[in-house]
Amino acid sequence: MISPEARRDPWVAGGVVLLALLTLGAVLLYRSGPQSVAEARSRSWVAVRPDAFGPRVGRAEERLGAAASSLQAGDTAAAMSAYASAAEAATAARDHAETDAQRGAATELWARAVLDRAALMLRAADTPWWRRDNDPLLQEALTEVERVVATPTAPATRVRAGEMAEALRRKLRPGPLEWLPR
Amino acid sequence: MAPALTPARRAVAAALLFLGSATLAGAHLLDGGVRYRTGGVVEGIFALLLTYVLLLRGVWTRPAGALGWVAVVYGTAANAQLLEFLLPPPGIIEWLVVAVLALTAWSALAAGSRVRLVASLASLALLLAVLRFSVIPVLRDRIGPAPGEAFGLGNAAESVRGLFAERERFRPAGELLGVLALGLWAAGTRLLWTPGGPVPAGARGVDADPPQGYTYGPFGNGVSDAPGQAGG
Repeated sequence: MISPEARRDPWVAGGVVLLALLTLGAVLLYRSGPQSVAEARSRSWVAVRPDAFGPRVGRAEERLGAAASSLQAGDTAAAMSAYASAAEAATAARDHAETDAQRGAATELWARAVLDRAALMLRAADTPWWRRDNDPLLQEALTEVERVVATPTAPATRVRAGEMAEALRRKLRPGPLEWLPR
Repeated sequence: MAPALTPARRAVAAALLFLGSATLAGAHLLDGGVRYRTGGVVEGIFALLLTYVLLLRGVWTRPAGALGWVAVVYGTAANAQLLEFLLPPPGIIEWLVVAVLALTAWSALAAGSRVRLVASLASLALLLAVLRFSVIPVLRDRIGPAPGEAFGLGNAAESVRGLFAERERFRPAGELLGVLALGLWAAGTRLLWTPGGPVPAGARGVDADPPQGYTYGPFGNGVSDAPGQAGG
């Protein structure tokens, strides 16, 4: 047992509380496995204020940055995963938006993440002409892009989403039909 | 004025340092990203054995009360994490190293004093570090063609190399983090290290260096040169 003197000692009591908090922090750190300090910061910011708009948008932007870094390093799988996290964080930010401007900004972030991810999926599903394309992946990307098309976004985003959806539909056409005009 | 280090304060401070050591030692900054590793069964068993030896030889003195045990538990976790950092990556080399360590563990038990035990542990850490951070990476780079080279022979060579040691290249910052973890472990150990001297009346016998003329048998049982003296 802890002696009464130790229990009354403010240094010991404070140390034990600090130990418990740091242990919890270490467990959470190992569970979440962040890959950078920025990721750890954005994640803990969301954990501290889960109902706020700012941390969610910050998290979405951080994930978009991480996706770009992964792409630069040639890690497509990590980039796709980061884009998915960014889209998720942007959706959560939109749910917690208090003004129309915030809602619009979060929607744009979400659309950007979805379209960037769809572009990667299109590239990953594309195969040489003598081999079959990865149709389920293309279909998944098309479903996501159609959600962007159906959501009110900025004109430039809407144009990009339309072009992406068209490219995906063309790619889904069987065999050489993908090169023929509709 | 700095507050006096009572046994309870010592225990809490040591636990905090061991927690820092364990956390840093498990975060491996590799070339391909950060991996968060926790010691497995092998590291856990070695950590328990090491804790037993450290307590037995008085390198760690468990402060009285529950807080003393808290420090020991965190110290054991730090031992496991440091072994995870220092032992070679999975493969034949790790099995060989673990087998040699297990066979030579008796020599650690037979160390005459805690000073010698700490010195032999430091040498062991150095040898493991050389193996993991110098020998294995150099051999992996030099032996056989790289993956994707030599018309597929490189891929075959890589699978053979993987049999000996999994590919794990630490970034310089990752190695620095490991050194920091070792430093925190040493600081925690220093807090649990009671100033030497013979066993004071009423204290546990393992907490002090043995008296003059005292030697250990091969299994750590005390044999004294002086007639009529024995201990362990």
